Amino acid sequence: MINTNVEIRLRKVLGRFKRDEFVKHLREWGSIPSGCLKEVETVVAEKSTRKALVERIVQLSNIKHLTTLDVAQLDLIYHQNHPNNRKWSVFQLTKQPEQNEKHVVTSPDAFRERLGKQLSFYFKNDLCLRTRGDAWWLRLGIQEGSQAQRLSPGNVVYMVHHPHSQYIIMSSIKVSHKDFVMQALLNSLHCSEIREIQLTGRDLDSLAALALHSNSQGWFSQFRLGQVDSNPLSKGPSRKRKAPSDVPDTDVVFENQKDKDHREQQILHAFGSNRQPKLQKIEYKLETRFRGFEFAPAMSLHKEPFHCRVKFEGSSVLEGIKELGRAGLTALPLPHHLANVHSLAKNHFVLADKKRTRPEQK
Amino acid sequence: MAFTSHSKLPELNTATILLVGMQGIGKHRLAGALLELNTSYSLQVRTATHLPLPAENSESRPRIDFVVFLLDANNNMSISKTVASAKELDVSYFLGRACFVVLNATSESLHCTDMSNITGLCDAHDSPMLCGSLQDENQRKCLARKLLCQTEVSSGFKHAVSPMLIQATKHTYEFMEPL
Repeated sequence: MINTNVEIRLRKVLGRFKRDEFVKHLREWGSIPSGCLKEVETVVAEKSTRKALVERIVQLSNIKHLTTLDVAQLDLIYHQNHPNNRKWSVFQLTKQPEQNEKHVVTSPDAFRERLGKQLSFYFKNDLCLRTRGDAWWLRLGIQEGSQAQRLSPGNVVYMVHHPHSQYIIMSSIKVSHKDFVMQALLNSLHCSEIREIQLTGRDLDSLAALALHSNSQGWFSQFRLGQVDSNPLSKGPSRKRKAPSDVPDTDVVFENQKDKDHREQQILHAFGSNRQPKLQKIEYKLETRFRGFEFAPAMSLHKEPFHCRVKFEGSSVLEGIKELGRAGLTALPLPHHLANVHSLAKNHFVLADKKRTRPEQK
Repeated sequence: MAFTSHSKLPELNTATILLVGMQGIGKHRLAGALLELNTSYSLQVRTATHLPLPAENSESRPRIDFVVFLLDANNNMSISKTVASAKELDVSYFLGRACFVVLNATSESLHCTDMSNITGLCDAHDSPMLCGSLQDENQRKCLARKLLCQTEVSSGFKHAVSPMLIQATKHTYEFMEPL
């Protein structure tokens, strides 16, 4: 009974792999002896169908000794290599100052043990952890409910934590499980509070960059990436001055070059010259008074807030905003709520009028 | 001071054309197409996003023979900028040395203003209007050839044809009401 379950799951996970990833990931997984791996390699090279390949692998793997945990490991490997298919949201943890010195999470395994124990108070689960770069990836499979429910993808939560930072990035969790998972995380990381910051997206690396390096985005990213020139030997050969020639050397002359240069400078100062992190959506909720009086003069009588929602959507919205300035479609410099998005670690904003501090004059 | 059509002496066997249009409208593509047409005289293309032109370049700038206003019928900002720039151009250019080019004139559903406003603009300045597109290479070459034809007239390369003659004999765009 248990084995068929494991077999079903294994097939499902293997079915997602792309052809050229099989060998690499199976080697990383380690549950298939190396002799059989060579055989897998030959099968891959034969260009048989994927289904046949999966069958062969299932046969080769020692199905009797595999557990759900092993299959979960394989699933996590798959997701580590394809992080951009899920919707991720970022959570921030806060610690009380007195907890800082006493309780520090020492190693990934210790963390996993502790978290597993905390979670097992609430539901049966399987938890596996892998490190990737300097981040800890966790896969939590919640084993509650009927057989079919246990196999459904809604009961799996992926979490990415950078140790010693205060952020955790999680994929979507069911509402019924959310509180328990949060509490378990708080206890295992010795923190007092966890809250969801308004930062969501699909591209995991960008979300991590926006959350962790929010102080060094835009113009300052060049310092973080070490692009500021400090080597005196790296300067190119000096150019000799040339006397300006009488014959115009170009047939196309742009008259407003100075304007264009000025605009480029402004964009460079706001966004920097590096690629912007990818955000799929930026949303603004406006709760200001209506401001388009020249188009609708009747609205000038209304003083109450005009609720409005503006969404920017695309494959990389920050690059798009940068290009807006470059294409001349906006007036520069851009307002703060557009130009500083990369430093605010948020993509859902609420814009409201400034509250008056003095009472209105009658 | 804005440039006029007679403030500088022309250079030998050269023609200068000025393209005025919003940023991103495709002036440099049009300039490329203009320069690809092999002409017996040397052609210089200058591009600007708005008039009046900055004063720093006025010394090195040659005499401008022909001014082309590029406007995009789908884009409100380009129309308003063109209207503002056309006001700044010296009046001597509107006697056959300027023309308006309307891009995207065929996509009726995307127009942000009536065509009558654009034809009204051209009639107000008494200048010819050309419709074209800069996306397709053939259409770009076609437009470039038309513009070059008019430039040659205003540079004086066509014997016994002056821009004023063309101006006086062209028809306007005031359409009569259908009977």
